[in-house]
Amino acid sequence: MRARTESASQRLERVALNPLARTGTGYRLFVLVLLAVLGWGAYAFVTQLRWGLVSTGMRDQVIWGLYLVNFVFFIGISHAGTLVSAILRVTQAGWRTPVTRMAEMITVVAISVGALMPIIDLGRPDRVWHIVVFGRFQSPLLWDILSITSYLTGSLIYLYLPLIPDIALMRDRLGRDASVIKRRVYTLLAVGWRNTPEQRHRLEKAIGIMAVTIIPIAVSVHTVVSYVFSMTLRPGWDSTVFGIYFVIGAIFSGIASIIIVMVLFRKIFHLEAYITERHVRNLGYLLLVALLLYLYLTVGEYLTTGYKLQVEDKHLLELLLTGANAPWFWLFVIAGMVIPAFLVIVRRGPVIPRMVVAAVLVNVAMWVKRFVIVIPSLQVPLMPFDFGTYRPSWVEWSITAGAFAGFILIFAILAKLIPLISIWEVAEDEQRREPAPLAEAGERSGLRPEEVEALVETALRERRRGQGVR
Amino acid sequence: MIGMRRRLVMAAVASAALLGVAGLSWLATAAHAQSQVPPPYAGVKNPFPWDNPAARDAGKRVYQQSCTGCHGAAGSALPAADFSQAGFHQRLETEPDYFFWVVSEGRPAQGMPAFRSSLSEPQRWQVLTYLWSLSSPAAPGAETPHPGDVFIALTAPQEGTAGQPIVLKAVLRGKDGQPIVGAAVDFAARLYFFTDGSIPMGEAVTDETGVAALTYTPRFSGDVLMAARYETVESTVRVNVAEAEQPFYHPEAGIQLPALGKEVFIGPESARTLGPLGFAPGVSFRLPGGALSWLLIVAAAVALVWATYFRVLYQVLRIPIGSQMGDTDTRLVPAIALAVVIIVGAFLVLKLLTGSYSHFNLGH
Repeated sequence: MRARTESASQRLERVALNPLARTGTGYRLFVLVLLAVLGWGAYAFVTQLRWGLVSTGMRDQVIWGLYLVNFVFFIGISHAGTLVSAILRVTQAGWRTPVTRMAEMITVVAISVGALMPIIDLGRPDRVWHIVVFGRFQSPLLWDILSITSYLTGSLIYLYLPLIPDIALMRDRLGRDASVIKRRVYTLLAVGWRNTPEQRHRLEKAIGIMAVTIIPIAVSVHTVVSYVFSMTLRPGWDSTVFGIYFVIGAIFSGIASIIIVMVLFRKIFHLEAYITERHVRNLGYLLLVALLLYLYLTVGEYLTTGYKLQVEDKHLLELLLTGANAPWFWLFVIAGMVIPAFLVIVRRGPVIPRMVVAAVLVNVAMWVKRFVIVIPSLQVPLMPFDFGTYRPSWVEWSITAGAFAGFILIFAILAKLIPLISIWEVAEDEQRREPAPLAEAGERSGLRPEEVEALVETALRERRRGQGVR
Repeated sequence: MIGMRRRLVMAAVASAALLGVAGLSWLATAAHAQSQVPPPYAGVKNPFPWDNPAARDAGKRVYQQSCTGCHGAAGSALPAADFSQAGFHQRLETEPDYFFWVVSEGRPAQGMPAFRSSLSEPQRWQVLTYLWSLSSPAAPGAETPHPGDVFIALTAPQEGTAGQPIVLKAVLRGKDGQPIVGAAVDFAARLYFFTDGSIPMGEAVTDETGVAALTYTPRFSGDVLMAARYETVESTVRVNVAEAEQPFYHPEAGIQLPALGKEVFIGPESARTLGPLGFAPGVSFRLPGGALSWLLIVAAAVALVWATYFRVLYQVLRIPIGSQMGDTDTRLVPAIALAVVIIVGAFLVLKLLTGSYSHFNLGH
């Protein structure tokens, strides 16, 4: 009996820590490809520094291009992360534990990449320092600095806190051949964690505070990002709904990102036992809710604009609905709204491929949607001049590719440094399960019924022992 | 009389153009009202006696709510439908169904709305009963002074400018020539804006000399008939209001919000006033100053967030040290994190409060 119990918890550890221990050729090759793309992006950036912004497609009318599209996109999927994980934690959704770690990782990586984008967008990136020295608080750009700094710090803390017990576990499992540096870093990061009740109490209190705090900060970040647009008098931007529109859009693309990342890691690192169909299905329903909200806000936005139809709005809507940007706009509508909705609603075929297709479509469409928000508004002339044009140059495409490669690369490296699922929370979750629905619990966690039974027995014994001590 | 006839002809031409045959038949209706009133209304009678004071007072209230905008307080604002002209009460008595029909179905071509859905049937009759009292010399128990008992005279400068205040004075005298004290005089301007209309300018109470003075800043221009009315007597005067040379309405940029301290203004001084033709001025920023400025609220929110980070990391710092951890300082990471949080948080808050464009530098 005891041996079986050990095997269940050992199995969790083995599965979760496996990616950290073993590194295959495929992985190295993948990292090399990513590094190559990143290097190509870096070369493009050097070209841009050398020749100036004239090497991009941005000109005096269309002053913002792919960089700002990427900025909004990455800040958007960063919501995945922390917001979704914090909401699930605050609402005590029982199925959240295998999901939260990856969501939090998306946040930290996406926000780091996203925050670089406005700096790349500058003709003189060395002058970014000026916003610190001369920043004026009436500028939405300074609001961006405020909330993105707070969000990045907060999500780092929020990623770190639940990591502490897992880092302690890794510290204790390090083999003899581990380097001194690795041993020392894990020891330092584990802050002397021994899983005593008092330590646990402090950590859980800290996590509880952060989960509540991070939600308004996450909302503020994307609201402020939208204010950069909506505080201007441009058609399509001058909108009071932009704050919530961007927040919902961010949650929407964020959930889609979680689904993609989760299924990828499940496949690559064989996490099928812990990330089950149920997790993907539940996230699919969340995706549908966000989709419907976003659809509602989109219809409301264009309907109120189109009903009044001022001259500039007319130009904008023509550009979007029938003009130069129509392919992009309708791509967003069909690939981002219609098809994913059907994929979630019509429950035919296997769940996971269906949700992944929906999630990929949503992320592509939401990138396109950000393009449709940023570019056409700038093309509409506010003075009696001609329409602006914009065609991204190879420099912009290369830097964009580099940004995505960097995003994936950091993820790939992080996957080798920290466990992708929160081991202690999953274990705790399994212990908490009541004995009655044994079969269901086994199905959920992917354990065999005997293993579940054994786990429950151990948990009960421990609980009895705990009561005795008290 | 000529003017009235011309209006009638114009109305006829316009109606004919608009409604064709229907318009022509309507002309006939206007001429021979009693014979042309359509079925639901033909032959209906006022359920109230014409001199019923209760119905009259109820009708007055309805009239003041729904009718004064076009017909004026005395019912004489529209010459084509002047309820105060002598003999109007006799027309009411002889063809009540016609007037009830007009009130109910309106005269869309002339701008008279239909009241069938907004006023109940008794209410419509009450209004007609009130209209009867306006021209009837024998309205018994009338609280209003009879025209002729009261004398009103309005004086105003002949010339004015839009946006510049003018003083209107109405002298009110009783039958015996004594000033009427403490009476409320209504002032209104008669303007043509698609239809003849009356714009209320305000109300003033007569002083002990019987003079009601109203200072009014017109926002319109042109040759305007201004009227002072007390109960049923009215006096008009024509004022030529010249167009303003500069935008006069809201000449200041931004909104003046109540504040505890000196206002913070960021931008060139020229941005305080609107440009020519009322165009928006250059970029500027106005904020209420003092202790309750929104900047302080923002700074407090940022401080709160970073204080929370501090608190959370402090919890981590206070995680007790395991016994066999003697060789490494396990508090190093949280201690560094705490220092970073303090430095960045303090920097952001101080940046808000002491930045080169913040309250500290601009409020003084």
